[in-house]
Amino acid sequence: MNKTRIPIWRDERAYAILAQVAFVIVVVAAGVFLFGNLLGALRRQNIPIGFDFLPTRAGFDISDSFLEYTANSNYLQAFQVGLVNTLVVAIVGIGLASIFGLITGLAGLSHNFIMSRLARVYTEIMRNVPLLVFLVFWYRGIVFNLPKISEALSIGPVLVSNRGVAIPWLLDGALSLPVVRGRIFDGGFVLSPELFAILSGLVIYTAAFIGEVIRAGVQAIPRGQFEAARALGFTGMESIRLIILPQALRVIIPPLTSQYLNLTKNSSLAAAVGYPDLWSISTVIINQTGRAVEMIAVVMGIYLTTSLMTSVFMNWYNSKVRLIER
Amino acid sequence: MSQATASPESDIIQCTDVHKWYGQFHALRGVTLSVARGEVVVVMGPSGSGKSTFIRTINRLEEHQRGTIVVDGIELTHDVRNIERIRSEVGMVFQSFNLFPHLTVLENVTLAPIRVRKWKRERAAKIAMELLERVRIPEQADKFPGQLSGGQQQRVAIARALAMEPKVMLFDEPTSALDPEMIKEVLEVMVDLAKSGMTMICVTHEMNFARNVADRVCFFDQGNIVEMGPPAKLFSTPEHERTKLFLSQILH
Amino acid sequence: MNSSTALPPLTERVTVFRWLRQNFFRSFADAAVTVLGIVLLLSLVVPIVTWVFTEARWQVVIENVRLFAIGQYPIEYVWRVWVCVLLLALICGVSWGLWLSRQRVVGAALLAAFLLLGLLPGALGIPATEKVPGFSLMLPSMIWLLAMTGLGALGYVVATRAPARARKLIGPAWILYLPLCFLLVAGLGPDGLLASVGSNLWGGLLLTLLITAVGIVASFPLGVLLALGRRSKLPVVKAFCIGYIELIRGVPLITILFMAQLVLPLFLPDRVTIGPISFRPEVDRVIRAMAGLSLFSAAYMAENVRGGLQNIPRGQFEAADALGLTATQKMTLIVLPQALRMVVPILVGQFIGLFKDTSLVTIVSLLDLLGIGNTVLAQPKFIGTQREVYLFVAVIYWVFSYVMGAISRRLEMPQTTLRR
Repeated sequence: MNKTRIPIWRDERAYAILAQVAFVIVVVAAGVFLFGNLLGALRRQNIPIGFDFLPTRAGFDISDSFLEYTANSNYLQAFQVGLVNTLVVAIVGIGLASIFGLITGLAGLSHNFIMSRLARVYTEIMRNVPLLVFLVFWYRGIVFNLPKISEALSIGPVLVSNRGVAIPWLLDGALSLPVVRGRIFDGGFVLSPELFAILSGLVIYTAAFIGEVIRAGVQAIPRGQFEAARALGFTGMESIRLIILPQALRVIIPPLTSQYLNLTKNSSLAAAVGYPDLWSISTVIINQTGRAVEMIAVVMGIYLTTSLMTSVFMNWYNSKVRLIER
Repeated sequence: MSQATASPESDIIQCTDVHKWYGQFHALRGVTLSVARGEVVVVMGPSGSGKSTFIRTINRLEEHQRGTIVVDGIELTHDVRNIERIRSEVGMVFQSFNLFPHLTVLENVTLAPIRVRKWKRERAAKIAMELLERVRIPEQADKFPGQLSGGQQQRVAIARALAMEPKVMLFDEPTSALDPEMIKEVLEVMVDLAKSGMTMICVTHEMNFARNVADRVCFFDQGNIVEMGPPAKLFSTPEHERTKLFLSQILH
Repeated sequence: MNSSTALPPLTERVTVFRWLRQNFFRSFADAAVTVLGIVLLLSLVVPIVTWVFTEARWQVVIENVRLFAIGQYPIEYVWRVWVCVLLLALICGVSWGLWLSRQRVVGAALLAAFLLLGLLPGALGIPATEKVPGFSLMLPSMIWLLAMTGLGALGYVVATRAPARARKLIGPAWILYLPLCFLLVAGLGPDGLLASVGSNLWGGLLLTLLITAVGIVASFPLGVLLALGRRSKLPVVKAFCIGYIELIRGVPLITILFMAQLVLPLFLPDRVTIGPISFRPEVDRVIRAMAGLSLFSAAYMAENVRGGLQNIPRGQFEAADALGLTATQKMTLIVLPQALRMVVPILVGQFIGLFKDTSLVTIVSLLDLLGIGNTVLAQPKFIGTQREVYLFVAVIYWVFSYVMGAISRRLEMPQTTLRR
């Protein structure tokens, strides 16, 4: 290497350092400016920053709650109710959407003309309509217009009415079948119209996408695999179950987890159907306390953590199932 | 083709004790080579020997960690200005052509002269058409690379490199990705170029090309030049064991 | 006796019965599934179709067409919106002629659709009378629709006849189109032909399309910059871009829209003083929504563009370097043109997604297509017509979304010819 000094602005090594320093300065300066404005604005409106408002009495009712809650509970408890509600919708929703998605996907792959066309039409409808529009239509158009409780529709042991949907449930160790008594349900587990709306709406919407993911995953498997399976004597169904699906799973899992995440994030639209999920309750809290910054930050943090955990799981899963190649 | 003299003034490239590491792997181990103006040097060797890495250090596509490289009197250092000057004096032709698929053949050739040398469009187009004539495909000027055969694409790549009027042309296995029937047309262009006095360093396995045109053949192995000399001598009476082994493997 | 003459193939007699059996009744299980499918189809479709044609009160839609289309935009300035639409038809016609002359079918189909829409009410012989109040609006609309068809065709003809001149003008035309639209819609000054119309009056499909357009235009450069930053070798820049992208992609859009509505104004300084001028900056609610959507979309765009960038062979970068191109030249002349071309279908899909996502601005009280539906339903005359209104809104979204998707799929094909 020669000994003469290279001027800094021409030295390619210096460029990397200088560029980053400049970038950091710009970002930090912008950050200081913006947050300075933020703090100043909050101070002017007499809104403190912090979470000291949490133990304050909430003063509002929540229609659907899995936890003990009254208007005398505090904001933190209200928040917890919302969190549990969202978790229930997300977990049950993911489960049901997977089942219906699998059916849709298999229908789409089927040789049966009617089945594959039905699946195709269903998917095309859901893909081109915004979820919010569908949810609002579903809730205010369909669920509102379900039969009155005195004329509740029964699909098997499940009772459907505009006051809610009652399903059989395990109560005190025994199976409890719901019946209509007067104007309410007795026995079983009753889903409020709102819970039913958000759950069924999300499931119907997401199942279409999951069906597409499954269909694409199976179709990604080279035909030769299927032919080899048949040649070995497996029937169609067995081939799918033993040979195709395990391989397809590798292709399916990443976009599938993406759909699960979407369902979880989409559950934040529950306010449109009146269901008090995490976000819906947070907006009420923001309205009453004015603490928009803290609440939004916390809710974003919760959703972000869920997403990151899912990504981590996905990377782990991918590394586990990677085809061992030379 | 001119005589390879040892005097530094007529040497256009001087590499002294060039080392390069990829992490722990020592890819170039003290390569020393001087190339005179107008000289044609062919570099050969087994894969992984460092021959491609070496010529790519000359125009800074790879960075060397130790030793000096001087091209046309300019030393290759971390100085951005030196790197730019050297790159405009050194043209390169790649194994996979690397033509820009979204531009026409003519646009491929005129792009650098217009943008780097700041020529006017008309002058660049004129020079480009002359070069395309020289590589014998002027009629393809308005086609896209995807519409050309491999041999035609490589010839366009040579024209593109020549458009910058470089002092040195580097060739990194220019015919290795071509179907056999197209190798000849590219080699003909390269022979013409050599005869016109261009300084060339070629990494290639084409023995006949080396025999006809090369002033010197360097045999690379394990990161350094093992043996060097006029092609006739090297091919008929190699001295080193590894040279003999390599030659026996490719002369089957 | 060997014969090497080619014999015609054996044909199976294709009868209706056989086709039915092949597709529907191949086996017992298959037949059962078919029957199930038919039952499902009938039990769903028949009630819906009967409802649509008999019980549904479509008055609510017919009388409120104007609200759905443009919200509360003053009627005397609607011509400005139509001018925007006509300009779009012209520019699209020219673009179609310049770049997609092979896709004649798609363009012709769109023009035919507009022509039909323009002619249809007339063809049905429905006079514009007091009986259907909202309809008197449709008559001038028909004229505009016909003009749109005409201009689209004109644009196509111009582009095919004078391609060189068209090529020079089309770039600036597209770049200037959106700001011009904004100017026309928002207006300038207190009165006159271009009197300003407050954004609180913008609504319906007009607002939806405006928000979508701005969202697309704003998120595109930001997304490209993020993608480049994400691939940067400078660790600080890379970390920043990854952080931004992962943060945005991990949270629901509604949280970002709320943040834009509630928190964004707080980030602005209280008072801005430049020399003698001092004012309190205020950000319009529509702008806040646009900002939120753009920031959201940019993160997803960045990931898509990154995919394209990753697929560029390293040799392209090396060839650019060897020729002596600077880093900027390398990016703008060689890498980005290829990367973007590669991801056009994915980007279009994302823009369609953005269009659908604008429906969320309803929740922050903007009167977009969905939001105006709520307004319409609040009219005492139309209590109980939720199904009609929301179905109508859903169908509008569906049609736009499906048509854009179909066009995108048609456009996908010629891209592959560039690369060997």
